[in-house]
Amino acid sequence: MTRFGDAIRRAAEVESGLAAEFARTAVEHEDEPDVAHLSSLFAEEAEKQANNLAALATRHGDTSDGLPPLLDDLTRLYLHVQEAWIYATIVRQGALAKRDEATLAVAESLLQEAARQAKWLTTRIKTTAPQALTVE
Amino acid sequence: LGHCHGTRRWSLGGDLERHGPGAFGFYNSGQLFLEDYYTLGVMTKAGLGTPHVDGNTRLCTATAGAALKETFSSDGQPASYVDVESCDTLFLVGHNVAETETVLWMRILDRLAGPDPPKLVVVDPRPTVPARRADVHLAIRNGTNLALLNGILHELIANGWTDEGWIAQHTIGFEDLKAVVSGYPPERTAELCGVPEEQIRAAAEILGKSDALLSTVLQGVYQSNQATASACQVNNINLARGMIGKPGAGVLQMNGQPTAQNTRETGADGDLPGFRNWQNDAHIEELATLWNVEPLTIPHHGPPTPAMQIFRYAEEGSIRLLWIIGTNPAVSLPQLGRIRSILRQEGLFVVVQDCFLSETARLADVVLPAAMWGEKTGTFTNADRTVHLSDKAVEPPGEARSDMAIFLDYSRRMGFEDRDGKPLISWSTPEEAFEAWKECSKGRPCDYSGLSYDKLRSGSGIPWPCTAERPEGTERLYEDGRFVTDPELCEDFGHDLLTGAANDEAEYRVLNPAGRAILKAAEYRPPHETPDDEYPFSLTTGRTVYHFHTRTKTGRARELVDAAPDAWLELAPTDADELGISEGDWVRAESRRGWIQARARLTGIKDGVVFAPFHYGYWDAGESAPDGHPRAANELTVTAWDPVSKQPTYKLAAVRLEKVADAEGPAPAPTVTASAPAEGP
Repeated sequence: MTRFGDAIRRAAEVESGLAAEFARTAVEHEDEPDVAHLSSLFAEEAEKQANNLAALATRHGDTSDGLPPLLDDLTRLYLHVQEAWIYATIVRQGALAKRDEATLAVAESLLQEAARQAKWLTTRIKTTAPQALTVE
Repeated sequence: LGHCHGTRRWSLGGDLERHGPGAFGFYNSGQLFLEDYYTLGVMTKAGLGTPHVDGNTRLCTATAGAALKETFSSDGQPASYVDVESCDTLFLVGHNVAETETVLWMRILDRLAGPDPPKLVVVDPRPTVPARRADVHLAIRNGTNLALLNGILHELIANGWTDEGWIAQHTIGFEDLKAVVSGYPPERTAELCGVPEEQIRAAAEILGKSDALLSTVLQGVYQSNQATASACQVNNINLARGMIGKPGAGVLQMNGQPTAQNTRETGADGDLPGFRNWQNDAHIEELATLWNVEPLTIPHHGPPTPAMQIFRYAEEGSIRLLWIIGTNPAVSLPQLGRIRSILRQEGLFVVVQDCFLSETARLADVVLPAAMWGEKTGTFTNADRTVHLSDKAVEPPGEARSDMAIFLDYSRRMGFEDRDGKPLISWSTPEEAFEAWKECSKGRPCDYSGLSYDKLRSGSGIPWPCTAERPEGTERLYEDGRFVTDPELCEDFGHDLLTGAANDEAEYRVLNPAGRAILKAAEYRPPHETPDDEYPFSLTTGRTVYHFHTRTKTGRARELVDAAPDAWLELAPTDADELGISEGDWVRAESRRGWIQARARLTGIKDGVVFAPFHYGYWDAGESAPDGHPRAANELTVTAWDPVSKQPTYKLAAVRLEKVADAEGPAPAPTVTASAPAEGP
């Protein structure tokens, strides 16, 4: 029973949810053939990986405690930064289309900051994970 | 195996299977020999497989290595001590050379007193002996190195004192650097650093008009705010002027301890041996082949764990065995109250391997008596890459053995084996260990393959790289203006200087340095802890010439003890006046983390700054901790570090001062050093 098993279980759940979201998108947007086709393909991929991960999680055993608190918080932050990054990208694209320089400047500085935050979080998560998950 | 102190029981090996290699932490030294370090490196990386190995070099010289890796993509001192003879300008940044490297200072004194002396520019908040000899002494507010160096770069560029042709051919990043330093004109820099504008202009002019500029850096940068970013700017000053790889022109990112260089080379500070890159699978494969182990055995899933993080893992309980070798964290790490409580923690098994019963050893579960340098044979490499051999002079006393012998014994008892079931470590003598290290370093920037014990015995030291093609070694690196920045060769892909976020290989390849040095820029940011109404003074800590580290050796030499018998606190006469403090008065200094009491020495130190020597602890009173009389400077210091080098920030803590008793005489501080009493009005 390990925290490592918990992490794999969580990755399996995420992948499974992703498969469902891709499948739903494929149906919802069948009038956009590229979106529909690729979403179906990705749904299959994600489903397979979800099964791979679930089998590994069972083998490693999980405690259902979830990720250790620091790793959990850093991971949430990373996801939040990614959300900020993609919304800033959307705003930037809009600003370009509207030729709105003030909004463009804010969006671009935000993108830079989000990239730095994500990079730092990646580094910190990579260092934290082995100790948090594998030392008993 | 040594002497058991406590009641805690732990098997040095039995718990490996249960807890995994991540439960083992090693905190070693800058004072062993190369052969000891390399044996430790192989034992921990290929035997146990733990990434938690660091040296106390993390406290003194990690930033030197980090700054060289950021600028040149590999560790390796560019210049040579020989360059002191031919430089026309010396730029000492946070480097009190008169008290930290006395032999180097003698060499500089010869130049200063000889014909055609070099110009001298010194950055230091204290009136050090070099500062008193300087043409320009920049007594900056501590923590503002980066602002000052950005300001100097601003002046070099604004006045056309840069070598644009050389920059274009041999560096990348100049446009970014220019953009950042454009925000540091002398007026603003003077304001940030607390020095007159004209001094900044004067210093920049000396550096800018020099024909052979030798810059040196030490703890005033490494242990301060934005350490790596600042040390990189010193590299940048020399690079912007094309002042590298030429006689008299170069950078010396100094080391703090005699064999700190070897800790960094051999993998005892966690980096991979031979300046190999943990993100380069080919480098891991080379080591796996050399040691005949599986590549996955060698921890390379992230950067090595720095000392402060090792203690954090011990604090949170995931490191269960902490093996401390030839160093004294119970006096030398920041925020000692916290460190002592970690070392005493239930569930942490502490092994201390040392020559003396230090404060840390008194807190250990097991003490392994180790031989000192005169009691064993081995090599050591100084800050300019020169390798020396030190032969055993006397037998170690009692049960003491060399550090290498202890590691070999442990490896044998643990049964560490290679892929073929043979013992992982095949050597048993220092010379055999050196031969193994030659094999490991071959083809890397720190190539020792052309050296041997016989060769080192037949003359003086030889600087690496020393190969069949370069049998006499290499005085100066980068003479062809080509740097170690090829992705296949380099030790590191670099970091974001502000956060320490690591670049990956793809990001590095996009930079395409292709043998050019990388000019990295960064904006100045104020330190984490700055003086306020409650704690109005800025504390800095450091050495005095009469003592080394925590006095485990120098505190046993009567002349040295007589010269500097007890701790003191330096402050400026105007500050002392305001607080009603006179020379020799007992003063209590208190930070948010602890307090000490020591006698006051009034010096020419910058107003608002207080200095405490870091040497003094409690072993000579037979204690591991203060028994009502705290005097260790690190009772006050802050748990914080540079984001890139992970070197603790010793030179910045906010403190308040209070007089507690009248003087019985002058403070026990030396009078001919940076601690000299202030001159009368």
